Amino acid sequence: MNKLIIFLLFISLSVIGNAQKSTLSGYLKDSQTGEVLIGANIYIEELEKGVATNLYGFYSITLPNGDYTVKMSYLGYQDQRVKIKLEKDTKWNIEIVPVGIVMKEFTVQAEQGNENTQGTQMGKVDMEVEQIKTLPAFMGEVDVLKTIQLLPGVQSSGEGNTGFYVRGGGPDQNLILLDEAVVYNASHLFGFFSVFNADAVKNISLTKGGMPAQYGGRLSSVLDISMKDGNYKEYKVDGGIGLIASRATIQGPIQKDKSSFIISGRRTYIDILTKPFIKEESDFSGSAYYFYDLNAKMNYIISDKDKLFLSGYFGKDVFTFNSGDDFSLKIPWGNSTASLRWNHLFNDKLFVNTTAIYSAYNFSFQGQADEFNFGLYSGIRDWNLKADFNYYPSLKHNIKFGFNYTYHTFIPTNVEAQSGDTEFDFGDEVKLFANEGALYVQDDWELTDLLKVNIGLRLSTFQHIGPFTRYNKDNQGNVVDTRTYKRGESIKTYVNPEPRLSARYTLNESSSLKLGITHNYQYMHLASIAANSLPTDLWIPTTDIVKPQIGTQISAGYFKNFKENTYETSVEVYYKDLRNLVEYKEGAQPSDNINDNVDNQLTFGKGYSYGVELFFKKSLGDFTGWVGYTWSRTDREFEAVNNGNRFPAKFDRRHDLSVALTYQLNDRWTFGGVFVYATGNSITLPNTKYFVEGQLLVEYAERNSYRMIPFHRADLSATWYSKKTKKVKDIETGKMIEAPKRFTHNWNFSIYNVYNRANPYFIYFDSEGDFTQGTLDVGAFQVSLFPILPSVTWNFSF
Amino acid sequence: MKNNIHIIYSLIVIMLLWSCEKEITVDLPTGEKKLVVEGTIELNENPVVILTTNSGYFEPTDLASVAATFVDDATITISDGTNSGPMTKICSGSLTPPQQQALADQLGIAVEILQNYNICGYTDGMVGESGKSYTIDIDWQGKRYSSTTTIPVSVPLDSTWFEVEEELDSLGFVYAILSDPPQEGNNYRWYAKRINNYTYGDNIGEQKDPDFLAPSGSTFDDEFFNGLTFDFGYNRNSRTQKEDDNGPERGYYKVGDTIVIKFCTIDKGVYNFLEDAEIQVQSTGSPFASPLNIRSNISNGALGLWAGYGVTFDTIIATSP
Repeated sequence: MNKLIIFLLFISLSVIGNAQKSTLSGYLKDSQTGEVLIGANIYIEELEKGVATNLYGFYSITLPNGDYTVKMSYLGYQDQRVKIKLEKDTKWNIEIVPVGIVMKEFTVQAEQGNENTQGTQMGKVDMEVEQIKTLPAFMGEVDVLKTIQLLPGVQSSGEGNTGFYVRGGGPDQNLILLDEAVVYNASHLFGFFSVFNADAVKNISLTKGGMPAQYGGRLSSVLDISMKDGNYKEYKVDGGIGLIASRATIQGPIQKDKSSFIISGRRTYIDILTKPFIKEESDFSGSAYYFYDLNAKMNYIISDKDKLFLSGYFGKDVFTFNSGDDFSLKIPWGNSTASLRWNHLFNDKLFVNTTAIYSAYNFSFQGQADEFNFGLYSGIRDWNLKADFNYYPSLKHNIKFGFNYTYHTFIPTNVEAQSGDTEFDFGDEVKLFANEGALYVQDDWELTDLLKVNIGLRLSTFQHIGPFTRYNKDNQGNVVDTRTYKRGESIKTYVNPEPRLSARYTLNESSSLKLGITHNYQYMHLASIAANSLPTDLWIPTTDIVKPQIGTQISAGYFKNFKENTYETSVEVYYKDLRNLVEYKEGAQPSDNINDNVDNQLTFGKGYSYGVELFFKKSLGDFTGWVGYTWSRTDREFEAVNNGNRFPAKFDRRHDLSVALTYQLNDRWTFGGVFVYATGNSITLPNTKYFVEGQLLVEYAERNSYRMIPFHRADLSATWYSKKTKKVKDIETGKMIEAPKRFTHNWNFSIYNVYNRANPYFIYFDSEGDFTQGTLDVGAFQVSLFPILPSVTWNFSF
Repeated sequence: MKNNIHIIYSLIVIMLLWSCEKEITVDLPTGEKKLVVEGTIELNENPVVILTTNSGYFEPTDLASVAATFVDDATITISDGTNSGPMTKICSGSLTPPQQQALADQLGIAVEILQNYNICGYTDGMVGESGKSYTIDIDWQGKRYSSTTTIPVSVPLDSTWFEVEEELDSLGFVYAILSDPPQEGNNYRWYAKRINNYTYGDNIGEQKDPDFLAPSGSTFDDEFFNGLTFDFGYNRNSRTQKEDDNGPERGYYKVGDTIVIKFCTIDKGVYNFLEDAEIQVQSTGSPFASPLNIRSNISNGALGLWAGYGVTFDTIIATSP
C-alpha cells in the first residue's frame, strides 16, 4: 500500500515542472444568482480535453501557453465559447447563462457534453432539480429521492416510499450527504416524503458503482446533495402552497457578490386540515401529525483564496395522540445537521476544503395511561472533521487526497417507566461510543488518449471505545457474566484498506467501455425490525461481536451517445458480494437491550446481487426524459434465519422498469409522465396452523418464498407557467423589448396512479371464529395504499 | 409492557387514509406435517398431554377436520428423575357426558368433537411437586420427541382486588400486588376464571367461565422489576363467544363476579414459548413485524409446549366501591 502512495506521488511529481505551462483556474457560476455550478465542464476545443468543476464550483486546468477556445457547458445552461490567450497563470471566474434567459447580443443553442462516455466514473448520475420539478409530484410534494428511484439499479422500498435500495444493497448502505453531513434518516412520515426540500437543493448526484476513494463508510451508493448557496446578486422569495404542505424560501446577498444567505422552510398541515373531518368517536380522534423542515445556509467570500460556508438542516416529525381522559402519546423524531466549511486555495493547482460537521438523529416516544408513564428514546450523534484536497498538476492528472474523522455516539433504545410511585428498573442509560477515521488518495489519470483510470486507496479505521458493559450470554439467553470498560478504553479496533479502481477505454468519439472494481467497508449497521424503514430503526456500531460490513463490487459498462450527444445510452453489468450483514434474530424486540447488549440480538449473514442495467436518456430538446430497465437478482443468507438457507432479499426484483418523460409544449405549458413496473416483492407467509390452549398459532413458510403480484403505476403532470417577460421600452433604442418579470408563478397539476392500480403494499392472513369449535374462517387479504390521487400545487417567485 | 412499541405500528394505519384491501387467493405449498404437543403438569395435579398435528393454513376447519388433527397412536413415558413409566391413554368415548364437557372446557374445544369422535389424551398418576423437573418422551410414527419442564417454587400474590373503571358504574379490572423474590429469572403467568353463573341473558344458569383463561400480556418475567414490590392489573380474556364477550362488557369483570385467579410461576422454556406465541398473535396482519416461528421446548422439530406450573390461587368477589 505504501508503495502505491509513493508511486502516485512519483507520477504526480514527474508531471510537474515542465516549462512554458500556465494554469487557468477559478469558479464557474450562474450569471443570474452567482451560485457556483457543480460538475460543469470546461473544455479546450483545440486539445479536445476538458475538466469538470468540483463540489465547490472550482476548476483548474494547466496547459502549454498559447491561444485556445474554451467552451463552458452545463446542463440547463447555454454553452459559452471564449477565445483566450494563455501566457501566465490566470484566475478566471466565469459566469454562464441559464437556458431560457434571453441575452441581448446573442443566443447560443445548448449542447450536451459527453461526460458520460468520456469520464472514468461509472454508475454515477447527476440530477437537475428543475427537471425533477416538472415530473409528477406525489401529493404535490416534489421529492428528489423518489426521482432517484426511477434510475436503473435503484429500487424503491415500496409504494410512495422514499427509501431506496441500490444494486441489491440494504437501505443502510446508502451514504446520504446533505452539504457533506450524513443524514441518518432521510424520510418523513414513515417514508412517504423525503427530508429534502427541493427548493433548497442545488445539485443531486448519485454514485451506485465505482465509488471513488474520497467516499467511504457505506457499501452501496453515495447520494450527495448540495444545498443552494443563496443568491449573491439580489433578494428572492420562492414559495409554494400544496395540498398537504407549504414552503417558503428567502435568499439574497448579505453583501453583494461577497456573501449570501438562504433560509427555506416547509411544514405540513394534514393535522389542521383533517381535524374538522375526524369524528369525535372515531379511533383517529385526538391524533395529530405534522412534520417540518428548515434549511439555512450562509456563505462568505473572504478573498480570492478563501470562502466560508455555514449550513444547517433541522427537521422533525411529531405525532401526538390524546384520548381526552387518561391516555396520551407524543412521538417526535427527526434529524439535525450543521456543517461549517472552509474552502482555501493554496495556489492555482491546490484546493482544499475543510469541514466540521454535526449530525444527529433522535427518536422518542412518551406515553401515559392513568398512573402509568412510559418513555423510550434512541438515536445517533456524530461530530465529524474532514479535509479534502484537490490537486490539478496537469491535464492528465486530477489528484484528490484527504482525511475524515468522526466521533460517534450511538443511543440504542433506552426505556423509562413508572407506575404511580414505583420506578421500574431499566438499568443505566445505554450509549455506545466509537471513533471512525479514514485517509485516502486518488488520481483521475489519463494514461493514454484512449485509456483513463481513476485509481484510489482508502484506509479506514473504526474503534469501539468505552464506557461499555458487555453482557456475555449462554445458549439459553441467560447472562453469565459482564465485563466493564472505562471511558475511552479501546474495546476493539479495525483497520482496513479499501482499493478502488475504475477505468474508461475510448472506442471512438461517441462510445467507450468502462470497468469498475471497489472494495468497501462499512462500520455502521441499521438494524430494522420491519420490512419497511421506520423511525424506530436503530443504528448499531461495529463492536467486538459485530464485524464491519464488507462489500466488493465489479461492474462493467458500454456507453454510447448518438446525434452529437443528444441521446445517451448505456449498458452496465455488476456483481456484488456483501459480508457481515446484520439482521435481528427471530423474535427480537427493540427494547431487549436492557441489561443486555443490542448486538447480542443480531444474526450475521451474506448477500449476493448481480444484474444488468439498460439506460436511455435524451437531455436536449422539447421532449426529454429517460427509460431505465434493470434485470437483477439479490439473495441473502443468514445463519439464524430460514435455517441458514439462502433466500431472496425482500427487495429482490427480477424486472424493474422506469420511464420518466417531460414535454415542453411552449413557454407556458410543460407536461410530465412517469411509468414504473417492478416484479412483486417477496414476502414470508404462514403455511400451516395449529393450536395450543385453544389459541390459533401458525408456522411460516421459507423466508420470502411468496411473491406478490407485480407493481406498476403511471403518474401524469402538467405545469402552467405565468409569462416570464413583459414588454418594456428600451431606453437606448426606444424600441419595445421583452424584459424579465419579477413576479412569476406556476401551477402544477399531478395525478398519481392514473389508472387506479391496486398495487399490493402487504398481504396478511386473518381468521375469524374459533378453530377448536369448528367455526374458523381463514382468509388472505391484500392491502393497497394509494388509489388515483390528484393534487395541485401553486408555486411563486419574486 | 415491552410491546408498547407496537403502538407506533398501529399509528401508521392512521396515515393510510386512502388504503383499501381485498381478499385474494394465495397459492402456498403445504408445509411439513408436524407433531403438536400441549402438555401441562401443575403443582399437586396429574400431568395431561394432548397430541395433535398442524394442518395447512387453508385446509378445511370443520369439526371433522379438527377432530382429524388429534393423535392417538403415540406412546408417552413420563419421568420425574427417580420414577418413570408410560402414561395412560384416556379416550373421550369412555367418558361420561359431564366428564366430556369438563374436558372440552379444559381443552377449549367444542364438546361435539369429544361426543362424535374418539379423542384421546394421556395422563399419569404422578403428582406435580414444587421444584421438581419432569421429562416426557413421545414415540410417534418412528420418531422420538422429548421435553423437560420444571415446576418452579410458587410465588403467592400479596393481595388482589377488583376496581371499577371510572365512568363505568359496574365494570372494571382485577389488580394485584406482587413481591418479586430477590433472585433474578422469575417468570410468571396469570390466569383467571369467573365461577359465578349468569343471572341474565341467553346463558342464564351457566358458569360464566368454564375454565381458566389467560388474557393478552399474561406472561411476564422479572427482568425490569427484580426484587421489587409493585401493583399491576389485567383485563378479562374474551376468547369465548358468550354474550358478555361481544357487548360492552367485553374485557371487563362485573360487580357480582366471583373471580378465581391462578397465578403461576413458569420456567424459561415455557416463558419463551408463551411470550413468542403472544408476539405472534399480536403481530398477525402487521406489515411491520417480522415473521416469527414460536420457540417450542419439544425436541426433534415438534411444535407446542410441555409446561410445569407452580400455581397459587386467590378468590375475590367484585363489589361496588
